Amino acid sequence: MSMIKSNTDECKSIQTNLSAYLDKELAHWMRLRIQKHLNQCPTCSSQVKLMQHTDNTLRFLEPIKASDNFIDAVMSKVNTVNIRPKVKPVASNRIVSIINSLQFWYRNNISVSNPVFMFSFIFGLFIMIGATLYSPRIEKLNLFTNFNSQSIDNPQERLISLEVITQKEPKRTLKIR
Amino acid sequence: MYVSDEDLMRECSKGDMSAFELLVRRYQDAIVNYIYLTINDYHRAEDLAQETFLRVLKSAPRYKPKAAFKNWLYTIATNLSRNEIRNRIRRNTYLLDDMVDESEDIHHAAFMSDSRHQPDILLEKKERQQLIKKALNQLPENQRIALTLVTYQELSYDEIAEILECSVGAIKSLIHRARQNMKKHLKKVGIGGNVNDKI
Repeated sequence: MSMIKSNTDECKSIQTNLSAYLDKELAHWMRLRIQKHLNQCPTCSSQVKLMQHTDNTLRFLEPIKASDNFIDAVMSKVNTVNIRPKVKPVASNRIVSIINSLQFWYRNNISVSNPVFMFSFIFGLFIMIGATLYSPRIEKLNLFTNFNSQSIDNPQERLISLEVITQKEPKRTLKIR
Repeated sequence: MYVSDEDLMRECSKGDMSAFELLVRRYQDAIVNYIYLTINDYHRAEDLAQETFLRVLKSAPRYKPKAAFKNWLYTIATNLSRNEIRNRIRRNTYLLDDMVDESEDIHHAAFMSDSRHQPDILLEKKERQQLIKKALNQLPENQRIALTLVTYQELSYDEIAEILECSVGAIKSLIHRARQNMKKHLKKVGIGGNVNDKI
């Protein structure tokens, strides 16, 4: 059996796989490759022995068992668990959930003196007053849409509209033979 | 006749408490041991193991056997253990040495009841186990969990990857790093320096 030079790139790649090799988590071809390398490389061979020793040391810890009354303790707590059955989404259930979500203020007992409630109430009130007093004029909005309507009294405005309508003669005309 | 965990869970979801009790009987020791090795506190481990089973029962109606029941159970136990470790760190109450002693007393009492064990051998064994636990608890949280799952629960890398929600490649390197660190910590506490050492 010929020994190979240690600490090569091959050694590095083998050493990263040693843990998986010990746990038998490698593919067959990889296991064979590592076994072949371990037979030739003393460094990796000692590494795997140390790792095996660490694993054996860890297994020296005896497993702890649950206490004798463990099941009784679990079963006594079972009654306190609220087991929710699987509910299929039905349209009526969805409507109920929407209504429930709308009752947020009511369900959370949010009082009138709550600053969040006060702010949203005053904000809403101002919006309503503003929309009532300063509503946008509908005639002004229609001005730009109806060019030929009789409501346009301003001559300048009429002129502009005429300029827009006036057609200029094209510089070149298309002659049809 | 052996009934699979998944079938027991289906019975559980129908409200069969005997199926639930059978599941608890199957996994109680494994889960208590796993949580104990992760958080290093026996009484708290029992509480968290009970909580794990109660959570299983709570979500039984919504259970879909997409993955193995065992992996799902360990995922719940892992999440609870992680929360416990983080809470302890936040509260600054993660006193490892005290907990080792407390758990050792329970183990010690069971050990003493066996008359075959001589006091000096018992003491040596106890000390050795304490040192191993101390070394194990010096590992980072993720490494400790992965190493516990592979060494004591004997789960495959695929199963651990599913429990810890990461790739198999990541688990492979995590366990490799955990073993490397464990080797260093064991050497520090005076175990595992020499391959010819008696375990």
